[in-house]
Amino acid sequence: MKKVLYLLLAAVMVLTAACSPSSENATSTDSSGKKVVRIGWQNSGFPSPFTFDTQGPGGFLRNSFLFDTLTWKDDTGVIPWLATSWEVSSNNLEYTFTLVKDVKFHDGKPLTADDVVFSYDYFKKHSFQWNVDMTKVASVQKVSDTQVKITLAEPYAPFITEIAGKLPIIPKHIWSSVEKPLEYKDNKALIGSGPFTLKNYDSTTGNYQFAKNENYFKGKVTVDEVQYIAVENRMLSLQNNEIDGGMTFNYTEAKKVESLGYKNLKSKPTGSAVRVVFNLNHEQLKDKRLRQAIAYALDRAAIAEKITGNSEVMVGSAGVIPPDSDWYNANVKKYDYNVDQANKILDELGYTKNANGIRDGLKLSVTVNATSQEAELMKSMLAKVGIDLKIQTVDAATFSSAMAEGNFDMTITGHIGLSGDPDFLRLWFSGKAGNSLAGKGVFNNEKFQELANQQLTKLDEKERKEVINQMQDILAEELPTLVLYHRPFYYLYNAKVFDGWFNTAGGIADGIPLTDNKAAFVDYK
Amino acid sequence: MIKKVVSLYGFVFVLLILLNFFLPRLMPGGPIEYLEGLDSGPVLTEEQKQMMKEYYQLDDSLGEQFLNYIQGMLTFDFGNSFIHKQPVTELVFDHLPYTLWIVGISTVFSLALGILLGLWSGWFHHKHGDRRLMLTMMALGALPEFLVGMILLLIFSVYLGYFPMSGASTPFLNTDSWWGVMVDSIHHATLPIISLTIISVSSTYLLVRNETIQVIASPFIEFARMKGIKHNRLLYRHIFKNALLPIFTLMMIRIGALFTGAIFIEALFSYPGIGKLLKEAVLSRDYPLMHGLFFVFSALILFFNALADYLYPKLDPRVKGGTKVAKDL
Amino acid sequence: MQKIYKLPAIIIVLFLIVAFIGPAFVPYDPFSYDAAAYLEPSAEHWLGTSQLGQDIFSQLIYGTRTSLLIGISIAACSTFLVVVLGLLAGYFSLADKVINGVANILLVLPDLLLILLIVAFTGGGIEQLIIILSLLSWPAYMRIVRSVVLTLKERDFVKASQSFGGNHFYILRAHILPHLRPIVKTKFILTCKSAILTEAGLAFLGLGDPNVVSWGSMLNVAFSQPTIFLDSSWVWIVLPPVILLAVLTLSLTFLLEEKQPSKVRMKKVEIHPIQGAEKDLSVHQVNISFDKKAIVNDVSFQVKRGEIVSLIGPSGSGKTTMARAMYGLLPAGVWSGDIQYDGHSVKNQDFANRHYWKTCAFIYQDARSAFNPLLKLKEQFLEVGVTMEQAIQAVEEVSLSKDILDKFPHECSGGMLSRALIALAFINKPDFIIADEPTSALDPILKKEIVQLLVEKVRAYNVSLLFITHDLDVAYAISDRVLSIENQHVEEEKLCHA
Repeated sequence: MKKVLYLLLAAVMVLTAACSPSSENATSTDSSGKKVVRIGWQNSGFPSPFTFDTQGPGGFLRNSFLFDTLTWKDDTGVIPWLATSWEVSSNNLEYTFTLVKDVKFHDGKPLTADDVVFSYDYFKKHSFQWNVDMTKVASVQKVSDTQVKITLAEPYAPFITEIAGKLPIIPKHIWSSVEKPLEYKDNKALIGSGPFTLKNYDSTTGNYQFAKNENYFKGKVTVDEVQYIAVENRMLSLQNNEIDGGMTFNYTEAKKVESLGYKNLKSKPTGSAVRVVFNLNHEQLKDKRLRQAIAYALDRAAIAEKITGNSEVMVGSAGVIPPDSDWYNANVKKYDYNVDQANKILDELGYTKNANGIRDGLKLSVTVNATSQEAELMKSMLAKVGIDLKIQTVDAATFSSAMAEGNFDMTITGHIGLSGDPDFLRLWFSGKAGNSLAGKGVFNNEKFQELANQQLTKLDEKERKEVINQMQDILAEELPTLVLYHRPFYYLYNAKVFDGWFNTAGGIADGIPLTDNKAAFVDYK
Repeated sequence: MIKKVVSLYGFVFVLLILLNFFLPRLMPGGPIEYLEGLDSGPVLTEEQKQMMKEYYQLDDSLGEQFLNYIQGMLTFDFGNSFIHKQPVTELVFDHLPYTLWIVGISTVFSLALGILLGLWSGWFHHKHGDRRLMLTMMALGALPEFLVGMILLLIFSVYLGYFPMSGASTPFLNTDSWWGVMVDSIHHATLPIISLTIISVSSTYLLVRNETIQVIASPFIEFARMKGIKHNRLLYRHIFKNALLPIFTLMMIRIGALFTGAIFIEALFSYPGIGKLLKEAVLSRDYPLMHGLFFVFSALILFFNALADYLYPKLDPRVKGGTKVAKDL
Repeated sequence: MQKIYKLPAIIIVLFLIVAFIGPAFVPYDPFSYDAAAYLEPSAEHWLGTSQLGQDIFSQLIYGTRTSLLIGISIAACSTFLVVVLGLLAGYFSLADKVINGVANILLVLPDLLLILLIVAFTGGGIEQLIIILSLLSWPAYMRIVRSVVLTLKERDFVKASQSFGGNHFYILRAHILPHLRPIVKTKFILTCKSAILTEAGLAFLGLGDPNVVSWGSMLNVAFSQPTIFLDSSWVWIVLPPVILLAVLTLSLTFLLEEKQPSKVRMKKVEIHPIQGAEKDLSVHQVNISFDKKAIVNDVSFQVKRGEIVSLIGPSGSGKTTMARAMYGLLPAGVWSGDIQYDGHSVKNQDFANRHYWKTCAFIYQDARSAFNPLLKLKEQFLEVGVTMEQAIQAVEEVSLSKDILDKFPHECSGGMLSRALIALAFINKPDFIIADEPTSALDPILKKEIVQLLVEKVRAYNVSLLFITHDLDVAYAISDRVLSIENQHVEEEKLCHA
């Protein structure tokens, strides 16, 4: 038995040493001379606007390859896409878009103002699945064949990115006869105006084969084919030359693969956050001083470093907006690691330590969705100030319903999208957003709610930022949530196959910190 | 006999149909909560949630849902999967062949290997061969599934490059010949099959070995030896036949379980089998998909267990049939 | 050889010691994260550190406590359920409906669903985990036990006990339970192992209890951080718990192995012809002893062609052992001397192949247990190398209908089987037959018939018969000579024909 193991070990070690990057034999073209890029990502569903998978950003991105939006984003920020320009009325309610001429859908039919009007109307009836609040849109009118006027129900500052930049324009001639879009799985459901057409989709394995649109309006498509392959382990598959690029959260892994000769693109802005949500209705936690004491007791820098393996990881701001966002307020209250301060507050609150150094009156639990190392570290750190923390692990659906029912003390949750438009602050604490974002515990701070509604009406960036800054100050003082750290995504790729990747300013669409921006494959500049 | 077996299992089947409806709904949270509980899912507004509920008929009363469910059962139409947005029947039949292929072959291998090695080991009981074999088998059996797969994957695909790392076939393979397709499938299935075989062989082995040792100690085996019967006949005809009953039960359970897939190995090799589907269905509270899967499982597992009960008297004529009420009791 | 049985016990005791007091001696708190990540094994950290900088050795010791608790308690509970429910389901058909029904439901519903359900309602601590996994892991083996009980309850010894009004629970415990040993053993070992692994799987699905360290939670690293496989860190992170688990499983397996007397390696045998016995069955200076306890000492005698010789003696005197020795069934280490048939020694490696059922045949003590219960008599006749006609003739010669050949042993009466056994013994017309108390299981009338039949056949075929019995009357009635075995010696009795 031992012998076998030793042999096995020896074999693996020898092989590890002998392992060399397999990228040498990678070619940028397949046998027929076509330029093919293969990216690793899991199955994201049938990519029609109504059926793509919403379990992650993959579905929205696959869909964006086939369909275009009025505006889009690249490394410089918002850019015109189907619309060449737009004007906003003085009351901030009417947006008039001028469309690019001679845009054609994949089936050769022209894309006109009628299609835009149809799309907006259609999505008001049948909701788009990816974070688009169509209640903000009052009506859409055709001004001319190339002009559309969209009237909002109330001022909505992030309209350009959050609606115009996300809502796909679908062909009227196909969808006008579709009553049940969720069941419409015909190939016609995939006809858009985007830079690619879907040549093949294997719903069982989740592999996609996108072929380039030869007549793309925005510019030449620079690759012949993009494939998405559903591999389990992207980094090993990359080394094995089964894909040409893949994303990982893991710094150690990224460094390792980088050292084998692959290029590493770190997401900027980092885009994702891991944070603690406090139950504001909890008997003890509703006191903000206890939340502050916990914030002091948590060495967030150490948590970030331990978990990501990278000391350069960004520690979360108490004001929630990440430091690398344009909307970040650097002057919010800070909670640097301070055990004495934490102990002092806890003593003041009357939670006295017993002989074993444990504060008997303070037994808290943290609910986590799936195994969470953050929770383990939190447990150890809080133990140092005498707080006995119990970790409760549940699955996603249980987690979310616990949040909805307010059936928790604290939870740890992670998100992407914090680098996008700051309107998410309003959503999170309005009591209307998704369960895992804020749960039932509505943040009953009148001032904050007032500011949250105010920022929507400020189209002037400077004015809006002022309001957002005040919101961050309130959040930092009240701590309804505590951001632990921001975790960058690393995109590792074989530069010989394709080297045009870039980070989208503020993240793709509503802040998706991935590199699969369709603009990377289009020569439009 | 058949009637009794059918009545016993028929009752259980009806019970299962009821459980299949209620158990998933007893689980905390529903499909919408699942989407919301994900780290990188969308933010759903109330309107969107309401639309989803309507669409998936989750706002119907439990009674209406139950009627729909029963109606679906009778017509083999389980509706659309919430997560996959695809008809459940289609999904199940898309994934089932993959599972049958890898789990089926590895079940055959592991049973054949386990039975043969178990017989030999029992035959050579208390000789060195038996002990070495048992050491090896039990050590193999103690390895976690995932680790076995991972080690095979590291050695044979990452370092040696003999086998592909993931998937059931090369994506978008450009070949029309059925031969090419077959070779490709075998190529992709090799590592999962080997992993599954290694994992499951030890339990069959141990059961067969311990049974064999017990049978060998019985007087009729000694007498058969006295008759000068050749080893092979003694082992395969006399001993195996007598150790067969428990082994046969195990076999039937394995064959039934074959359809439930292999969650870990399918995940590791990105193999699109039913195990992966099942895990998704349960975690995402995809009620229609759970109904469809459980229906298939119930039907198959019960069928094989009923078949086992029906065949017991054929394998061992002394069994009168488990369902019979013995008069002398 | 005996070491083999001591080592596992020592290892298990070590495991228990580590589990009980180990945590008091570990160098670090298993949750403390002060060290750097992924340190290689060193003097400070014997097995290196994990991603969070936790000391792996300390985790391993704490993990031993948890995992042993999980593995052994689940295995014990689940095995107990398997045995009790399997016995009840196999024996009482009313209980079968309920138990087998529940088992089938549990086999169908995926564990994942049930675990999620139970965890949701109870919260997922270690105690709950033990209860859940115990409750979920019995159906498969219950069905196996049930299948065995179904056949056992039709056996004679159970039927007999029932007809004497034996209490059902007594029958289950005394007559059926002992037969389940191999299954129960297998079940216990496998469940112990898989419970520990399942706990790791639960952690993978996000359902483990993160408040305690276990081998499972350590293994979970292998699932959740595939990075460790990119370099050698998996060797000290994943392998230690795997190796401990393997050692535990192996120790349990060998601990539960039945001990058997050790065998001495085959020595090269030297065979010398026995003077003046080339045509007879001769026993020459035979000594037999088990575990240094002598059974017989320096025994020599001969059975001449056509002679009926009885070997008598009180029970426990070694008659049957002697018979087995004479048929070459005893392992070489326990006896010395030589036994030869027509000059062919039973010590010869190929004696069995060449002479069993040709030169010599054996009539077994109890006809019912001599026949394989699952093969028809026909097959058990034909396998000694005769044609169907010969088999029919043989059974007809002992006044049996030829239909008996198409029956299974359990369909025949004891008398029929005894006759069939005699027919079988004579079927190849051997020169020597050893009959080991062939009548002990029969009632007096039948006994007389069978003895008569045996003597008739012996005389008809001119066969030598060694008749072993404790029944002096029979021995004196039929034998040419009577040998008696007493005080480890065989002596010839004076025959006094009446």
